[in-house]
Amino acid sequence: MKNISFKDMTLDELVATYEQIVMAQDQSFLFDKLSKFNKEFKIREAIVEELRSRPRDQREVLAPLLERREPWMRICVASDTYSLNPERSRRYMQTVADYRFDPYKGRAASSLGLWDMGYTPK
Amino acid sequence: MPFDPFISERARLRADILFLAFEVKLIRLALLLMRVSRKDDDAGGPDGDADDAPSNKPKPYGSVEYADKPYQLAQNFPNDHNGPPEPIGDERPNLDDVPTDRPFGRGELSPILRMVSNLAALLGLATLATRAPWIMEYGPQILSNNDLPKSLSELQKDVGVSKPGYEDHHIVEQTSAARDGFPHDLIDSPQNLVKVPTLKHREITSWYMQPNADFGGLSPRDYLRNKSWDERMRIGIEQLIRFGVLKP
Repeated sequence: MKNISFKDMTLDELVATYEQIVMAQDQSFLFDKLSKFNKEFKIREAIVEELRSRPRDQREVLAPLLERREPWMRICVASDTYSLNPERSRRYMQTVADYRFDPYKGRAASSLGLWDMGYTPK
Repeated sequence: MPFDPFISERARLRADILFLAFEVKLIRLALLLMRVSRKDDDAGGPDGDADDAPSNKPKPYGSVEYADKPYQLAQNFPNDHNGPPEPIGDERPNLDDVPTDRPFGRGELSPILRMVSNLAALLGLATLATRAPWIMEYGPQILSNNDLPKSLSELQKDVGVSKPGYEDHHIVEQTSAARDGFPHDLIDSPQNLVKVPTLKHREITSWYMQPNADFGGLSPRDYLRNKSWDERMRIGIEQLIRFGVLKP
């Protein structure tokens, strides 16, 4: 993953890589593996930046992943597409906050609280 | 031929289905026409400079036009993500996920105890213990994780007292506050200390350490570096509420 240039990737490839990294990060999140989580976060961030830098900000291509039922996927996509459609991100984040299980529930509720306070993803 | 109510009902249903199919075709046709007309607009109109002349018309915040979506993955997902989302309550751990032997791996215990605690709220601790007796050793942690939120005064009441399943928690993180020069009597003051369930304490501590898109990719701990006591306190209180420890 280290030497991959996201610039050369098609949108399909970027979405597929994003999906893959979020699923891997889910495990790091669940099992508190901080250094792995950090590395995966940087990759995820780089993919999102690459999408943002393309003409007309292509982050919307991630939106279909909101339909996925994995709570961590919804958390990540809702955050990473927040500025495109804050209301939509809130709705999907709320489904995770309403979910019964830790640690997703707390993480989603925490983001909703921060968004209310004005701390929002760019 | 005598009147048969079943045949009549079937005919009505068939008519309904045909009508629905017709409606779907109409909607598809309308969408196709919209797409074609937007493509024509993008071709530049009278000035013919489509590539570098985005429309100046204000768009509703967050809206996406057809022309903005060269990538059509959305076709595979009929939901436009603007309606009510599907809940995710069906995916949940079950009894088989509880390891029969005590997990010893580094970092494995807390997540498994969290999952056991979520299950205990549904099935009861005794049911889980019949499958995995080792969990009784962590009974207080498992049970305290399901506490209902408490008031601030309730959380502050038992600070400094040993209570199985609970730990003292600094609302404003102590290490980073000390590093930034806040005095110890403020950091360790009763207003900054609460007794919280052990597993919630670990969850909140992890949250402080992990990079977070809400803070521009910084961890909350890094973001709060050099910030005021009040801002740290507001965020610390909000997290206690959102993690279900403190009553709103």
